[in-house]
This record gives sequence, structure tokens and C-alpha cells, in this order.
Amino acid sequence: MDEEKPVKAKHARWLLAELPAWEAEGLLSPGQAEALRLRYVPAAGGRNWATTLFFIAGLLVAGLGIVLILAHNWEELSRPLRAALALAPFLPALGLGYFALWKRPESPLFREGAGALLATAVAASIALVGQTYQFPGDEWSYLRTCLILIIPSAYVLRSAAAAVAAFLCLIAMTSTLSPGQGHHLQFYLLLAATLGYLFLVSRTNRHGAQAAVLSWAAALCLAFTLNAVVGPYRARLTSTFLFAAMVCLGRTRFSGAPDFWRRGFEIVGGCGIVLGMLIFDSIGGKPLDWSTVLRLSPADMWSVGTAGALLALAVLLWLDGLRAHDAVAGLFGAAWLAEIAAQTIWSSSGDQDWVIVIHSIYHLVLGAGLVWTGTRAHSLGRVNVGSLILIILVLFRFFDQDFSFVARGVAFLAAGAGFILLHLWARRRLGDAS
Amino acid sequence: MTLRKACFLLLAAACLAVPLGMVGMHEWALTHGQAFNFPLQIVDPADPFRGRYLALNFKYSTAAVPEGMAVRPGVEAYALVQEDGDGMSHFTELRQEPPADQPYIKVKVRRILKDGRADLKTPLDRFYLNERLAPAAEKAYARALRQDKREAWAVVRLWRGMAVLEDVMVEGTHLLQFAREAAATN
Repeated sequence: MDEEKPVKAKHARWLLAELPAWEAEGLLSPGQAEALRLRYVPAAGGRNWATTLFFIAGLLVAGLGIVLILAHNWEELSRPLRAALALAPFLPALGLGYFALWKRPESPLFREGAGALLATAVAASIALVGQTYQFPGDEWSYLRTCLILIIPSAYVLRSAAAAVAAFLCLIAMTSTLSPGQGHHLQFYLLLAATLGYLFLVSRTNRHGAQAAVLSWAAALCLAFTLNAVVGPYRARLTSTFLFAAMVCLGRTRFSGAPDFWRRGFEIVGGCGIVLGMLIFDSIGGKPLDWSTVLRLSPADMWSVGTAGALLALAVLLWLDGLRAHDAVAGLFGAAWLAEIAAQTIWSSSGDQDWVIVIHSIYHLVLGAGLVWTGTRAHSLGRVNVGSLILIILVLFRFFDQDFSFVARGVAFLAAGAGFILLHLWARRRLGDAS
Repeated sequence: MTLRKACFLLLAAACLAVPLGMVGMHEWALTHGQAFNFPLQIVDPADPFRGRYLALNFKYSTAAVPEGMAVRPGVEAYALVQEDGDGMSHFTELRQEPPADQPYIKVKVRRILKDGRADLKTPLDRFYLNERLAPAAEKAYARALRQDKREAWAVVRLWRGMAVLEDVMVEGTHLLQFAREAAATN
């Protein structure tokens, strides 16, 4: 029989409610009705995760309250007593973890709560010990110690909350990651260990709520941290490579998600490509010198290596998307090609206007391509995204130039009216087609 | 017992062992380490207190670089510590390996000065102070150091290169006591 297809819970409930009537009317045989029941299952998430999130929030607020009470008379306490109290946050966290694994192993509520509480306890405890013994302000060491304890707790407790805390610690490390600072190997090992949990979860259920939450956290973490590793000089290139890879990864490895909010890689990657190129055009700067970009000095090795790995990933995933005849992956994934072309022409001509022209052509093709393929695929959402990209392009270009307020007002009115008309046309056409 | 439960028990042990280990090491250094007084320098008289801690800057934070020793900014090294006749201490010279028979601190080279000495960054850059006391003590501390020319120094315990900040003194008064008195008079 075909594999399960997760759908929104309300759609699954509707189908289950309708099937008996269809059987009674002779529209479906009992075997066919049973096949449909087995095929279309409710996607995990929604109400269950809302309960879990509130539970975690309540635990964290209560935990912070305890820390604040302790902090009030902190300096009145002796040093050994302060040291002992610094371990106190672990008691409820480990207690809840024990309860979750021994008494309620199948309940995500307690596992997630334990993971969140344990991550908070690690961070709070080490900070309190540091304050008691006047540790230096070494952010890197503090975050690394936290990660060494938080990452295993994600695996052991099967907790997305702990993994999200790990991603947040990695983002916090951004300020310590500029080229030449020397922590890169350790950072990449910690990042790989955290991404490994997302990999495990997606193998079990790539459309589940855990995978969805983790894909958002991973996408945002990669966007912040990898650009810090490569440094500002190469970030213009590598951010495009990274976002293109994200869109293609989302389309090829996490395809078929029933809800829009589960597509973290696609959304972060898509927004990064569309907005990133346009924002960089507004900021301006110097043209890239390819000999500098590709320089392999000891201080640049991690930066160049990261840029090369991201380019390779973007190309491979783009080819995957093309092989799968995925128009969205094909269009967004081509961003790496457009960026290399733009930077090369700017570098050789010295005229930044070429970058703006090539980016504009790319956005035009991207937006129009999404509208056209969305119409053919009967996807109103894709049509809207395509026309939104075209509007954003118009807005950015008109903000860039020295037009009068009247001219800009007219342009924005035209763009807005065009968007509305296009949307109405698409709805009508897709409605006629269906 | 399943593998996951066994891993949880290991994780719990690790979570407790890491902070306990930090506490143990620092308590050992405070109990068995040798005390040295390092004169402090105020860097920004308008804001010596940042947030919940006092930013410390050693008055004498340079050390001689032995001939033949390759140093550059960012490199870690070991700075020998020597006590003066007046009870204060300073750094004498750098070593690439920890010495066996002299007190030292593990430092990082910030820059090389024109006279060939190395400007050092020590692992003692802050002293935590309760935020309630900080606002009132801030002004008194800056006034004491600038107008009254009072001396301040950090009491540091050294044990096998590990440096633990025990206290900050202002003319023989513990900084915490000094801050309380300043808060009471303001």
C-alpha cells in the first residue's frame, strides 16, 4: 500500500467523518475506505505542541523566579553556600528528566519540559559558579561548556527544546567566530553534533512538529553563524550560496509538508535570497577581488573552506532539484549562479550598477517564473509569492533611485494594483481550471 | 535498564560533575594557592562599573619577552610573577612552557610594545558586585581613586598557573565593605 501522507488534523477529521457516508452511498467500497483511513493521517503538532510550549514556558518562568530569589541576598551568603546553591537548578531538571524517562517515556510533554529545564539549569548553574569565583568574561568558554552538556541532553531526552537551546548557544557564539580567531574546528564539531539531532528526527518523521521546529532553528542558526565564520568580505557570496542550498534542501528532503509553517529551510532560504541580494545592493561596498576571496592563508582557511563547501552544497542540491523537476528549487537554487556572475562582472568592470542589473533580472525571472509555474501547477500560494517578489523588487528599486515622492507614489500604487489584479486573475484562472 | 536510561544517568553525573569540578578547583586554589596583590588602574573613571561587575585593569600588565622567544598578538604564554618589597606584585617575563619552581599566570599576549615588552591580557578582568550596591559605590570608587589618590589592588591566589580572584581592596578595605559604606552615606 502507499505510504502515509500526513495532512492537517482538521482535514483528517473531516475525511474520517465523511467516509462512512460515502460507504453507505456506495461511492466507495469498505476496502477503499479503509485504505483512505490508513493513507491520510493527521500531522503531529498543533494542539499537542501548544500544550507542550505552555508547559515549558511555565517551568522556565518558575525556574527564573527561583534564581531571582537566590540572587536577591546572594552576596550575604558564604562562598561555599553560594557554590552549593549554584547546583540547585539541576535538582528539578534532573528530577523531571528521571520522571520523563522512567515513568512517562512516550509523553513528549515531560521530555520536552525536562530538556528545556536542563538546558536552563546548565546555563544558570555555570553562570552562578562563574559569578561566585569571579570567572573571566570568556564568552566562548562559557558557551562551549554549556553546549557540551546541552547537546547530549537533546539526544538522551529526545527533546527538541534542548536542541533549540543548543542552536541558540551556537548563535550566541557568533561574536567569537570572526576569521582568524581560532575556534572554528570546535565550533563546527558542536554544530555538526547539534545538526545530527535534526538528522535523526527527520529520518523518523520529517513532517512532524519536532522536525519542523528544528528546521527553523537550524536554518536561522546557520544563517547567523556561517556568515560570521566567513567574515564580512565573503559574506555577500556565501550567504547566497547558503540560502540557495536551504531552499533546495527544503524542497528535496522535506517536501510534502502539510503546513506552510513546517517549511523552515524553504522560508528562511527564500527570504534570505530575495531580501539579501536587494539589501546588499542598497548597502553597496567594494567589488570582490577574486584573488583575495580565494586566498588560502592560514587565517583564511576556514573562511574559504566554508565558502567552498556552501557552494558545492548549493550546486549539488540545485541539481537534485532540477532532476526532480522542481521548479521552485530550480528557480531559487540558481541564485548562486546569479551571484557569481554579478560579482565577477562588477569585479572586472568596476561598475556596481552591473550587480544591480543582474540581481534585478534574477528577481524578475524568479518572480515571473513562480507566477507562471504556479499557474500551471494550480498553486495560488506560489503565484502570490511570485508576484510578491516582483513587488518587492519594484519597491527596492524605486527606493534606490532619486525619484520624487509623486513618482514613487505612482509606482507603488501601480505595483499594489498589479499585485491585486494578478491575484484575482490567478484565483479566477485556477478556479476555472479546477 | 535501557541504554537511554543509562545514558541519562551518565548525563546527570556529567551535569553535576562539571560545575562541581569548577568549584573544587577554584576552592583548592583559594585554600592552597599563594596570595599576590596586583595594583589596579581605573580605565574609564566615568564608568568603572559595567552592569553587575567591576571591570578590572592591571596597572602593570606588561612583561619582558626573552630573546629568541617568538610571540605575537593572540598567543598564549606564561607570565612569571614576582612580589615587590611593598607587598605588591608584577609580571617579570614570559615563558612558553610553565615553570616548575616559580609562581606564574597563564596569559594571552595583547600586543608587542615598542620597547619589546608584551602587553598581556590576564584571566582576571572582572569582579562581580551586587547591582544594588553598584550605583552608589560607583561614584565613591571613582572619587577615591582620582581625587583622593587611593590605591586599589586585586588579591589573587595562584596555584600552578591557575589564578583565582579572591578580593579587590581599596586602601585596605574590602571593596564589598567599601561599596556598602558608600551606599549607606549616599
